[in-house]
Amino acid sequence: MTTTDIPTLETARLRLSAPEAQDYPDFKATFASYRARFMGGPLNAYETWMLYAAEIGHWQIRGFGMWMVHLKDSDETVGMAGGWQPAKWPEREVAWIIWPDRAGRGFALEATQRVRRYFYESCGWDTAVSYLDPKDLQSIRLAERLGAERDREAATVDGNEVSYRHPAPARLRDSQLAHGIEMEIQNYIDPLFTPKGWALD
Amino acid sequence: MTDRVILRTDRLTLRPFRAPDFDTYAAYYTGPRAAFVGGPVSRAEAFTKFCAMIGHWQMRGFGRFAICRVEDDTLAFGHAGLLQLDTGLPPELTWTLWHGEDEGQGYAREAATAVRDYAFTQLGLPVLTALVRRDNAASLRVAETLGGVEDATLPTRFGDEVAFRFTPGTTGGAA
Repeated sequence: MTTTDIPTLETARLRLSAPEAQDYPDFKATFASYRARFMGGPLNAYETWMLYAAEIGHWQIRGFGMWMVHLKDSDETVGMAGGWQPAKWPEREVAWIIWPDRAGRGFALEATQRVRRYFYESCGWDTAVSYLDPKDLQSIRLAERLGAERDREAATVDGNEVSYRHPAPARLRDSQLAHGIEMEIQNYIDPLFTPKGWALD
Repeated sequence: MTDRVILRTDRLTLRPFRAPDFDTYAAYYTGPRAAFVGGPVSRAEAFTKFCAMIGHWQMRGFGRFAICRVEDDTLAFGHAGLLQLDTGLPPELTWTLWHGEDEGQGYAREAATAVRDYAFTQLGLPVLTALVRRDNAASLRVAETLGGVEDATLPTRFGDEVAFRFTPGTTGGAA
């Protein structure tokens, strides 16, 4: 698989495309920062470079990987989202990272929801997990907003993380959960957004 | 993108990595032979390194090849190619055989020669370097045979290494 085989995905605000050499400085800045503390970082220059090159190579070895997340209107990159399964990972993971200065605008939710749908609908996955640091409350909260639940039975990478199991594909089809996620994304896009219908109380 | 380059020599095919190469590569990098290159490392770290060798092609436009015999290009037994982690330094020429029993037959020299010639003629690179541990006698011989000139001004990475410099005038190394 070459980079031309990596599909481009779109959402309302985001374009997800293959990681390219020119995106490296943003990745490096994030993984060299305290932001990376729950992902084995902060990393030094060598480790950062190797990890980024490995993100690209992962696509070829596994047939899936992490996309670079761009804003559609300005093309700037805001983070990465996708699938991740290096050696020793018990299962395929859905993962995300948003650059620290782009956090808080719902990009991780919007991008991760899209990549999960791609894995379920186009790659035939029937389940996925996210391995999270128990101290990483922001990511645990995001996993829960995506409908994932703590799976105490699932193996972890080395016992230091918690496994969150994503809802199965059927639970994301026209369900209250799926509508809730879409509404939350809409609310980030337009904070004055109000869903259609009448309050019943 | 130049990530589909294949080099051929009399006895060897140097081709892009494939997923099935990983197990043999990991066995090498988690084993004692990796002591010459900063190892041994865990299988998880070997995975990152393996994926990074593939991603290197996209980052730099060149990279490392899997070394196979011409008879069977499914069975890789080493890697050779170009490595440039820091764009402030010239690319490194690297060669590695994964199994001790493949040493002593000129495979590393043959692979490295092909890569060196590709780097100078097809890529037009002006200079290459190589870093070899002082106790790695086999690789020191390869570097010298390929026309490497010791250059103490180059930075080294792992402990007691000799840095070599190669320039396009370099001859030698023909198998």
